[in-house]
Amino acid sequence: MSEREAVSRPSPAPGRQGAMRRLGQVADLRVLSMLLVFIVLCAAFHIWSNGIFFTPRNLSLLLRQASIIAVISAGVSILMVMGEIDLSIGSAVYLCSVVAATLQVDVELSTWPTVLVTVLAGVAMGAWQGVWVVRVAVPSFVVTLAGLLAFRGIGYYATDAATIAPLSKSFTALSEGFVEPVASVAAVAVLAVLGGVYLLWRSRQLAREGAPMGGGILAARLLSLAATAALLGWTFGGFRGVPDAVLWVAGTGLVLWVLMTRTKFGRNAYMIGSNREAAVLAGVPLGAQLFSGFLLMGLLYGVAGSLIAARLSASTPSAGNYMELDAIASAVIGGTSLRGGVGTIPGAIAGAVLLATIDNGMSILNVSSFIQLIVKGMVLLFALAFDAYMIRHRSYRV
Amino acid sequence: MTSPDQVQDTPSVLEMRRVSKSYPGVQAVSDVDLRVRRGETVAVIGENGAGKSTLMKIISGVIPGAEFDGEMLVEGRLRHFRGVRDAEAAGVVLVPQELYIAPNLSIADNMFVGMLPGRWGFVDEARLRAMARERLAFFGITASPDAPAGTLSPSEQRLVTIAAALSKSAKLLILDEPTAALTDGEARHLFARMRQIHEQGVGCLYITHRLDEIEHVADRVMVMRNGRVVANFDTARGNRAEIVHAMIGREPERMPDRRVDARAAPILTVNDLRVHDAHGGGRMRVDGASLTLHRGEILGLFGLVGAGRTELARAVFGAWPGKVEGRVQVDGTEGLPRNPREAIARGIGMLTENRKQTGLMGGQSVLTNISAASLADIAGRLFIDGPRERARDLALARKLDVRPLSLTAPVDAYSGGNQQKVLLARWLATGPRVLILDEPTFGVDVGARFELYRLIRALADDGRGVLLISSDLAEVTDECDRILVMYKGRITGEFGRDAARHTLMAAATGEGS
Repeated sequence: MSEREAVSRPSPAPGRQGAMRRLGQVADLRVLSMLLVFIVLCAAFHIWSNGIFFTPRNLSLLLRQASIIAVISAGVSILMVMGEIDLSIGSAVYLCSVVAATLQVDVELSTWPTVLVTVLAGVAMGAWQGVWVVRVAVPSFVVTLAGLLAFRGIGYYATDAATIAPLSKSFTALSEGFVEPVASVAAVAVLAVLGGVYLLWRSRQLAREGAPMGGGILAARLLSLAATAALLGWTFGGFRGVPDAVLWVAGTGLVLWVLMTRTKFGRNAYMIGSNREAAVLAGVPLGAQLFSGFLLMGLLYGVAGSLIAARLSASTPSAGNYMELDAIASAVIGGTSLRGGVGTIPGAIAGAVLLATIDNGMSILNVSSFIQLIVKGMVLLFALAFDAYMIRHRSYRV
Repeated sequence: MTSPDQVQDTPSVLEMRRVSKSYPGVQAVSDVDLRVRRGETVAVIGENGAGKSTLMKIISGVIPGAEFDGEMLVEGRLRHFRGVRDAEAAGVVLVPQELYIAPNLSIADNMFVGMLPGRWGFVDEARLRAMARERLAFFGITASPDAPAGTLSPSEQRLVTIAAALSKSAKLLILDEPTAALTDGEARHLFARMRQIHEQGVGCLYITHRLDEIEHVADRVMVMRNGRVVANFDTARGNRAEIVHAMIGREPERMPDRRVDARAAPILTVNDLRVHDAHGGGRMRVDGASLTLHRGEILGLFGLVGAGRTELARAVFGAWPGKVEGRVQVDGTEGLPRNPREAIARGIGMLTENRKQTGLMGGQSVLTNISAASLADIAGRLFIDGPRERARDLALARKLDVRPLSLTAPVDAYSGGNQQKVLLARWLATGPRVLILDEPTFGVDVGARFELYRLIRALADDGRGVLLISSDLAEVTDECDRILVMYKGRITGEFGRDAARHTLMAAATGEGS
């Protein structure tokens, strides 16, 4: 949960009580419905697949499948919060994977220098798009649409649309390696305890400030923390430990979450997204803020490009296809609004996991990949419809 | 206006019997009886939250007939509107308080949107233009129907919206604060048009906060408080004190006169400021304006819409998109701010006109809204100091009496007056030496208005300089220590606090000096 939700609920004046309480409920309604969908899906897949779905082995696979989209959807949700969009993600990530594979295969660079240069290449792409959006004031929709075509074109031209392989073992391990199971379970346990302590400390702090969190909310948070930890512990303990790909998600997710909830950058992002003119009049440096957003997105191209190259141990010409749509869908499913000003990092990551669940379940059930496209299209549509419904609901009440 | 005897016999356009509407936890309207006769204007007044808006939503079909209790008759027939279209078909037209204008579409398109005259499936452009021209002429607006609506001034946009409503063959016209953005002259113009409309037998419900204009426009007055009708007056004339009393449920308080130190040091000096049109047009928005604002002073800047007041303020605040020349000194430091960020750093704050568009960050919490302009003060190099931020913002919200007092509630859930307090808190948080307030009481009800005035006085008493921009004559004469009047980009007069209204008006219309 984000900072903005974590601070206490108000004790509203009589006249507004109904509206405010309903707003509070609406905010939770999204989380609840997401949870419900997730549980129903898991149960259905588990039954239909004759008990294959809900096993540590498959859940571990599912998390690895979700990891790249999770990283990138967290990034695009930041752009979306600022009222921008990125359609170039798939191509940019592909081009980064070409850079990584070329450095590995042709230059024979070692692992970490490869990652570094790949990330720099991503940042350069982000900077390129950022310049057009900020300096020339071309809408990001158009700039990144151009990027969608151009970046993939560059990659194909440079490689003749060929697969570049194989990459070194140590590079592949970036995504495909595992942390020892015992250490993994221990780490999950320690993190869960730390998280619980943090929640308790925070609720104390808020109570001290005279705006208590409410026992119900605290209990619900602790409970969901414990449930998540138990599920992850069971998964990782039961199958080889924490996948390295998941470490990347946890790392980027944590950093971006702190960035969005605790820093000036994050606050400015929400302000720009909800009312750009007012934000500028309040002294927010719009250009610098947007440009940083695109740089950050570029950095994540590099991370995702490295991860996808490591996962496939190659750069393949189809890598990253439709990835921008998956990322945007994940962000929207996770509560990011296309109108800007609304969205959280944990939400975007959870959205990616939900989307991966659908993917993984359908694959287990041997659903044709064509049907899978249709289903995913519908999922995106429903997520957007839900978003639109929530907005209408809200504006009517207030 | 008709005499009382005639009125008795005139048939009603609208009759409401024991109408009630409740939302979960709130009784928004209870047991309201209301009658509007043909050719009559009934003013509905009350503070924000009194139930006026809900009542108007019921009448205009925004709230469907199935969702409220009681009976509503339009032209003698019992009606249950299913929606706004239903109501409009029956001749009930609401002109909302907020402007809904598509700035890129033509004026004609904006006026007749939803009812464009057609021929074989195409829009009949010629007829559209003719209809628009006729309506515009009726309201005395000299603008081409083909020009984009964005080129009209806000007050003209308001008139166009009203003109458009009337073109829907209205029997009952509901005007929600129509003069909020109009100058006195434009308002008088509107009232004259309304009288003409009355002669055609149209009834009118008129919602307002401004008591002075009720006398000009209303035949009867209905006062609401807490969802109920608390008083009815057969005439607005001479009943002002009783009306105010009924509205707020207590005696209005008089403000004590302020004492200003005449020898206070200047805190803001503007010399020969020239503000060019933003889009390269040759027109000068501000043409050589100079002013001095002293410590502890409330300086009023009065003028009609388009006189260049907002442009002047924006230029001083570094927020004007076009070219600006001239000298600005803040507390002795010379230099024109290049952007709002620089202006804020130099101790200027600006409460902007039109809070929804340029002030509030909708969907965000009160905390975010208060901290918006002063994040640097509560953040280190990277991180925001959460406890410090909450403590500071809570103290500010408490000081300004934001109700309900909460930092986490979305700012949209607040009433206009409280939203304005949140925005004022935003600027107080920056510790400004100069505070520019552009129409601070726009759309704020009477009770909250006096609270805002008290806060503004307190700010000046703390040694800040306050530049109060307003097109409300009463506001300028009652609240300011000194008044400057602008007309066509120039400052055309300087007056003391005892200035007569007509002299101010004369200077504002270019008839003075």
